[in-house]
Amino acid sequence: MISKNSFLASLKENSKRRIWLWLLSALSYLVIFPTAVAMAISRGKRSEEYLIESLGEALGRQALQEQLIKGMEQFFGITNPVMWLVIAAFAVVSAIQGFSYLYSKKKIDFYMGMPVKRSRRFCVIWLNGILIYLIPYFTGLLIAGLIAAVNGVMTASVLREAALAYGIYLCFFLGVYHLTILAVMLTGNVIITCFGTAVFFLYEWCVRLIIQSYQALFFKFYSYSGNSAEPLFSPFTILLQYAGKHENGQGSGLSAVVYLLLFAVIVGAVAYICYLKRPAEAAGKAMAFTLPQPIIKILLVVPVTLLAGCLVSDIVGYSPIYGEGKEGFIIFAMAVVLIVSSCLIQILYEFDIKGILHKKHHIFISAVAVVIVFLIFRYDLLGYDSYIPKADSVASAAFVPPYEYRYYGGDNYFSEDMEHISKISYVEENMYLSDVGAVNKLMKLSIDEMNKYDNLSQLFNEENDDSLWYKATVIFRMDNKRNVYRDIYVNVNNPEVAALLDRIEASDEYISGINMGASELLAKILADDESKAVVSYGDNYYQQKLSSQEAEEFLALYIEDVKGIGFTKLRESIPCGSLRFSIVKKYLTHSSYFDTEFPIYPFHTRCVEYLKEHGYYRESFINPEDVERIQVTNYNMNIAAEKQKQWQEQLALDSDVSVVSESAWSNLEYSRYASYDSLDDISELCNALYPQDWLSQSWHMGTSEDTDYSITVYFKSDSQPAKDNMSVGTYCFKAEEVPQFVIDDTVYRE
Amino acid sequence: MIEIRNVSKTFDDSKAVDNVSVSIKENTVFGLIGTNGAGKSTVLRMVAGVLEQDEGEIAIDGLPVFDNMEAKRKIYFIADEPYFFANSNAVDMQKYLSTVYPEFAVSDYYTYLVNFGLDKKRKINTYSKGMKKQLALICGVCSGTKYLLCDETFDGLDPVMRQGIKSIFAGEMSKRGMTPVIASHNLRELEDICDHVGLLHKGGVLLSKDLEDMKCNIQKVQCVFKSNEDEARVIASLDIMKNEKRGSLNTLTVRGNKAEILAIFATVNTVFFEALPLSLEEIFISETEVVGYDIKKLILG
Repeated sequence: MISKNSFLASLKENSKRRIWLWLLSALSYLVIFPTAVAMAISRGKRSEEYLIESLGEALGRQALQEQLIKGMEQFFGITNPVMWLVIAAFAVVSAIQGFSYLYSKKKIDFYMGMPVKRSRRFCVIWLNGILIYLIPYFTGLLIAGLIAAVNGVMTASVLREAALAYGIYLCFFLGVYHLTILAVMLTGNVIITCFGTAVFFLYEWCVRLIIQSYQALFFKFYSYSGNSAEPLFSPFTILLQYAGKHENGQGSGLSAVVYLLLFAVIVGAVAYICYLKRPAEAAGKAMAFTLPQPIIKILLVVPVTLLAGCLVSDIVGYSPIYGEGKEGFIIFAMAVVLIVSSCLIQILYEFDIKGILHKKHHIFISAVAVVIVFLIFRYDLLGYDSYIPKADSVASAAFVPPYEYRYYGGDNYFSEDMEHISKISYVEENMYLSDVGAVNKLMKLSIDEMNKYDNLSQLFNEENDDSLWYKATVIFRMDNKRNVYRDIYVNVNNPEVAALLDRIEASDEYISGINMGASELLAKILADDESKAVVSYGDNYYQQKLSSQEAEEFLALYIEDVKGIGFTKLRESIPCGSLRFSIVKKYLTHSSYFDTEFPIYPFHTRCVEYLKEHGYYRESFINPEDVERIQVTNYNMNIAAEKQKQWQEQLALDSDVSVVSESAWSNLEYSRYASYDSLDDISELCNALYPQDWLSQSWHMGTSEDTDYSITVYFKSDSQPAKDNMSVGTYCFKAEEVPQFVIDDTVYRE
Repeated sequence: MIEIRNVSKTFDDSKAVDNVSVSIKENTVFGLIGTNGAGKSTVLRMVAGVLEQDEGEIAIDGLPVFDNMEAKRKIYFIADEPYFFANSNAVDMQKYLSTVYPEFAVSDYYTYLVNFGLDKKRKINTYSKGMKKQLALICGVCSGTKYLLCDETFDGLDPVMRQGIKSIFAGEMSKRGMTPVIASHNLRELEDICDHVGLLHKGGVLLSKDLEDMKCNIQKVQCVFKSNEDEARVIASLDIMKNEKRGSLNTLTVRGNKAEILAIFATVNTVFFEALPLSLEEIFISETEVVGYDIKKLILG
């Protein structure tokens, strides 16, 4: 028999005080859980007919079963975001409600006057809060599981997912629960507790975001890559990371669970110590402890002020790295926000408007902190922009060139498990350059060259005719497991830079790290029964399909051909075509689509030879026989610029030149166009035309298009492009290769 | 015995209790008197172990009280605004208190409820303020603790209830040696209950004396002297604290033993002589005037 004064009796008594929370929890888990499962099964079964119709009897039933099991796994598993929110909400409410007696002097007098140990009262309330979550959840799970079992979808995998989720969610619950209890212990009023809880959940994220914003604002080489604002000390982030890994099947995720549990235990211990130290007179006050008040105030005021600076800089267009805007507005706004936020917090601390005038020295201390942080970023006092990791402390590096349309798959990267990923992610995963020295040197060159300019705007100034700047990303994987990311600016017209790029890009590590076509991934996909790949060679308008065998053979040759090809060689060349992959990954109930392509250059000798052997190679991009007419538009931009200059000079000399004259100039049309429909003209033009985006989209292209001209090719209705629904094509001339007769026909004459 | 030695407590920047030293003997009814803000509640909350003193010591039968279960088991604290669980009734309170206080007198509890006319099934939040105070007192009395700390508990109770409580106190005191400590800002509320009184003012103790001692040592006499010589002789012989004269009628408050004073009056001729009983109020007025305070302003309002 349980004695009256036993722990269980206390637990029971405490439960009576929290009966509404028990009811709410029971309602949520005992009703929603089984109902939702029953609804999911019922909804799933409604698609039975469709699946049987589209996949056949056996396959359809199998698909339905798999679909239902997958649905159950997701529902019972840890990747159910609705459950996260419900659990987090329960943890917050349970913590606040359980310890809410600490807000009331009446209740404090009653409870603390009783001969009950503080530790015991804490344990009773703490444990009760957990049981309020755990018991209804487990019972709801059990009933929902039974419903699933009756419907034949409670498999071992679903059971495993449910058990795993039960454990992980308990850790997650404890993390949120303890963090909220800590907020309760530090405050003496429910509104301030809610505010404090929000601060605990959002503070690190906000601070990280502010730091990133300041880095982006003030540091020329700041890279968004590898910089996540996700807090390290948040149960939400830890759960999110675990769920992500679990979903992708990346390990057991045990470390995340241990981390989550450790986080919960540490925060719980701190909350318990605060509970023991919490003075009874804190009830009803804003803050329970006097000592941390100024620290908390300053820790809030400083980021809020910096955030205000960030927002105002965005509004007024302040960007020192581009030499735009002045600091005046920002400093003024920050000063106002600093004073207002400091005064507001003091009012909250004292629950008295008169508090606005108290503790003025906190404003001063906060201001000093803000100035220090601002100056650190403004003048890069920690040397972010000048930092180059020592080569001997770097394990490997990666170099990510700027956006490359048509090259190495553009941005259409995907992983081995057929998930779309970004280029940075692909490179992070696959590129491990051992030649760290080359990347280091490239970065140093970039810094040295950049130091010649006051700001980034000057880089792209027309006066720098002899330079061509691009932004690329470098990643240094340090020996201490830390990754350093920088966005550097490289002048590809600098021979030293080009030599370094040659050194980097010609390495096997680089090619296999950025060129999906040079990896084994595509060969695997071609051999995969569940994936259907359509492989073709050509350009935007002419495509020829390769058989599976041809594709495999061609890919093997391509892998050999791309070896050792550096930056300069690619830059000096124009592709003769591209190899395209359209892949469909089939699942039972749905399909995923992936497209990627790889340029084939004339120096890819094995590939070109193979194409020629199999009749796929094309000598020119357009077959003149397919063309009905070609229309060329010459914008005569040089003449237009000259005319504008003349108008401006006239305007400066003669004040009587009215605004009407200015607008009259701008309305003048300098463009001239010509249309060609004779086979001779078309043939000559076809030899000089290139698919437009092949010349304009890559930094490799030393030979750029002549932007004065725009060429539209109208294909005949029986031509191959027209049959492929491409009856109109957009092409361009290579700079300084415009046929003379076109120049004569389209030049502006007064 | 409750011993409070040089205890101080500060809230933010204001000193609520300043170097208070009081001893509360067992089996007496101790009245703690003071104006609002004098520090009565703070002293009681510290004695109850709710608040921790900044300085000094508080011992319950020699045991420090703060977070000490052994000492706290000897105390039941009734706050100025007693708390009862939301939506609870008297039975719920009994059930809870029975788990906390092993000596809780369950049968006495229900007897008292009946005697005081409190419905045990009725929700406490529908009770009147006075009824809540009665229930709090019943809970405290039945808890079986040695010391019962009452903060302004008697304020607002009607005379019949006060008599009822008084008789319960008397019964419990004789039965198990219960020691009630009653804090009030109104001297008149405590007059007929307390044996010993401590006066708190501005966080410090002005005086702490046994009521009987105070009563024995101060006498009030009304008399009409036959001659001015008689009057002068008596006044010269007595330790007069206060002398009010209306016409020929003298009202004297005199410090000293009653027999000695009567003996002095017997040596002179008086037309009229009568020894009057002193109210607690009058004793306090007299005592505090001696130390330079106007008690009327402090307590009586």
